[in-house]
Amino acid sequence: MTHQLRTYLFVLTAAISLFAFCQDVNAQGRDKKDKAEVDSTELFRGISLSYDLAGTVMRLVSDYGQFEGALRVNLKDRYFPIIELGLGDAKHTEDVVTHIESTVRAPYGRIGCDLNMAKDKHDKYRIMLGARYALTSFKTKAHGDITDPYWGGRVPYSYESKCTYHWAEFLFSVDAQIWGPVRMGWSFRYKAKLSSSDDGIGDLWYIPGYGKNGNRLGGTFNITFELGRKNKKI
Amino acid sequence: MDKSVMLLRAITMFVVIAGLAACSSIDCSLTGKVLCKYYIQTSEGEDSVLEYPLSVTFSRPLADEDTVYINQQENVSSFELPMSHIAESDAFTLTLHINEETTISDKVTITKTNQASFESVECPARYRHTLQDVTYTKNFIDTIIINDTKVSNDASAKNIFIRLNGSN
Repeated sequence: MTHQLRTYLFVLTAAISLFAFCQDVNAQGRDKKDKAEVDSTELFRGISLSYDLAGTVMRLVSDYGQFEGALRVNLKDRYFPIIELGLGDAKHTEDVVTHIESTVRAPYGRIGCDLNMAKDKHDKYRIMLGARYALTSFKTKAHGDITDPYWGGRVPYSYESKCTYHWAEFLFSVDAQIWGPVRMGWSFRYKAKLSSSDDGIGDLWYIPGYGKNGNRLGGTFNITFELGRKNKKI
Repeated sequence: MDKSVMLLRAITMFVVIAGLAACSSIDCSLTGKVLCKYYIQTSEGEDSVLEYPLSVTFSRPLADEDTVYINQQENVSSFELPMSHIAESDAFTLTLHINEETTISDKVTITKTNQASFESVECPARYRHTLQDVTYTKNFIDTIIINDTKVSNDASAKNIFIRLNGSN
């Protein structure tokens, strides 16, 4: 409980610090330019749809990965509230050593906001800092025929568990306008568990949207289509 | 080259490298072995040490043969035994080697329930157990007490106390 409370406080403090820092940077920039100058950028600058290619490639070449899309709103070219939805998928066919087969397949979602830190916020390049709250609920299934090494015999193994998992992500991302409304970019993410309904003995193998249990770092490679924004010509 | 482009490329390279570094192989828990912990006590419940070497032999109906798990271990104050994955009860024999010709044995049968546990497909399957009951013969054993019913990879657990009768 204490650990969870500390994690919540850490997430809250980090989010507030990030927001305050961005506000401070904006304020200082404005002061330097001209106190009388007002940002005339319209509030709503369009929406964008994006797809994570890295998760799909990961699933194609390994046992696990995700199919993920995102809807992002552009406010003043500075603030980008975002919803990310995806389907996490993991399937390991019978392992040659352990003789266990396992599957996990479940949806997940994230909600958060990115801040464009670029000096020229209207530039074709964006450097973003962001934070997410993420949630998934999933079942882990595993089965196989295993050998009891001490008591002998081959015995059936069957395991199934349900889990609800909450975590936070802090990210750094860059993206650039490629052509017209098309953008591409990376995000690099640090993930921190907030809470889960598992028994805490380390039974989780793969968590949809989070990745392999215990792996705190991750990333995405996004292709993005911006709708409704008047883009700068390259 | 434009500075912002260079910066973008450098950052991208960093992200790629960091992403690769984030890829990790599964590190199966070193403390993953599920063992039932037995502690030797006097008949009054004080910690004790066996005076004679101890052997433990598993009765293995599924393998159709018995096997020796501990062979004449000396100065035993505690020992750990794995439990069968799915059997409802495990039977084993504790043998004290008084001298080369003389031994004294007790047979112990532990009834339990089994719960499958899963870490990763790349890690060996585990079962945790909940102890239900214990029956035993009384040649050198006075009493067996189930102290902690949960048998897991918790190294600090003290599952069973074996209290010896006065002469051992």
